Amino acid sequence: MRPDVLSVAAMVLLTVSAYAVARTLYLRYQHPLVQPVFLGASVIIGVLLLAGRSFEDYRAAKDVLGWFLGPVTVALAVPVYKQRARLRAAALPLAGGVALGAASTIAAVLVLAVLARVDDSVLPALAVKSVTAPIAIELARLQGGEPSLAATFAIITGTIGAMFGPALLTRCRVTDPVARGIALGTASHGQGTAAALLESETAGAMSSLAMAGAAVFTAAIAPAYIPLLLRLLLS
Amino acid sequence: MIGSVAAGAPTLPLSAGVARRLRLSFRLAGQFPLLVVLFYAGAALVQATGMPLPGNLVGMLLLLALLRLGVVRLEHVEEAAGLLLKHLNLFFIPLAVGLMAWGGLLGTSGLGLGLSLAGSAAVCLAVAGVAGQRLARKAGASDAA
Repeated sequence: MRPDVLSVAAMVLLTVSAYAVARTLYLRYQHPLVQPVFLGASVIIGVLLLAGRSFEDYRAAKDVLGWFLGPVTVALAVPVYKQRARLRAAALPLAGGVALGAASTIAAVLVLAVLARVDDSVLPALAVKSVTAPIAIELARLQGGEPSLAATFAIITGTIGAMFGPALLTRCRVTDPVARGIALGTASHGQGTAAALLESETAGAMSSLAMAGAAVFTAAIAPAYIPLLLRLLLS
Repeated sequence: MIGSVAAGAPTLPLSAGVARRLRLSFRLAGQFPLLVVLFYAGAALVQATGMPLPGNLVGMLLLLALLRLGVVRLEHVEEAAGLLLKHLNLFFIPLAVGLMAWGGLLGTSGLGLGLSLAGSAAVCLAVAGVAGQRLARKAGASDAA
């Protein structure tokens, strides 16, 4: 089945319009419910359901826009490079924040999921939810989890962090843009970085680095750490 | 005399604005392909070496290295990168729409999953944020007065 160009263009246009409206609202109100990814995706899902369409009708548009995440991730090198003078001084907070944050969130999600009686087969995919979706897919596969489920959890985590992260950090009296960027990137990868970039270039650069650091760190500890936690929790 | 100058004035900034936008579009059209090439170079490098990282992340590290080495200068990529990053959220929306396909699972154990994901995200934000801020103050990297 070949999707026709017109309907793909219509779906892309729908996505860009929903984004433009959500972004305007977010810049004005900064409320979690108008967070661009959350509101934009909700509007599109609503339109698809009302029109009696399934996700299959949207898939081609997802592939077109999703392709841009490649060059966009490469572009993250620019804020990192511009902040290079500050990065040298931030090496210690970055390493400490990323390592503690990534290790604690893996333990927390597994403990909470076991307490909430989530099915055991889902746990490996849940454990890697804080890293960026393309890495979560690979790590879940290595842990015997379901790759597409891991990508789903990564996206939900990213959306939650972008929606509530900035307010939670303010609540915890984390006001320093360096620390806010580290937290958003470690907890919510690319979407957290998008939220950090809206705050400041410093926060955005730190978040890009924390996202990369969390992915590398999680990949490094996962083979020993995740099976150990699962053994402790399920015995 | 004065009238004719005043009448001619509004068209001048307008055409200057159009020319500026055109020049910016040309620069963007030149800068964007460089980001694309680096993305595919990163993907190729991952395939060739089998390193456990995604190609886009390796592409980012490649651009960072090229900027540091001075092979690529900031003005070669800055405007295209700035435009894409300003609208980073746009590119995540289609992934979030993909959650539609998991409606079944999210319906049956959605509450437990949602609480686990939200709770662990909060733990991560608090731990990384507080630890990051303390260490930043200690290292003198903090912005806060």
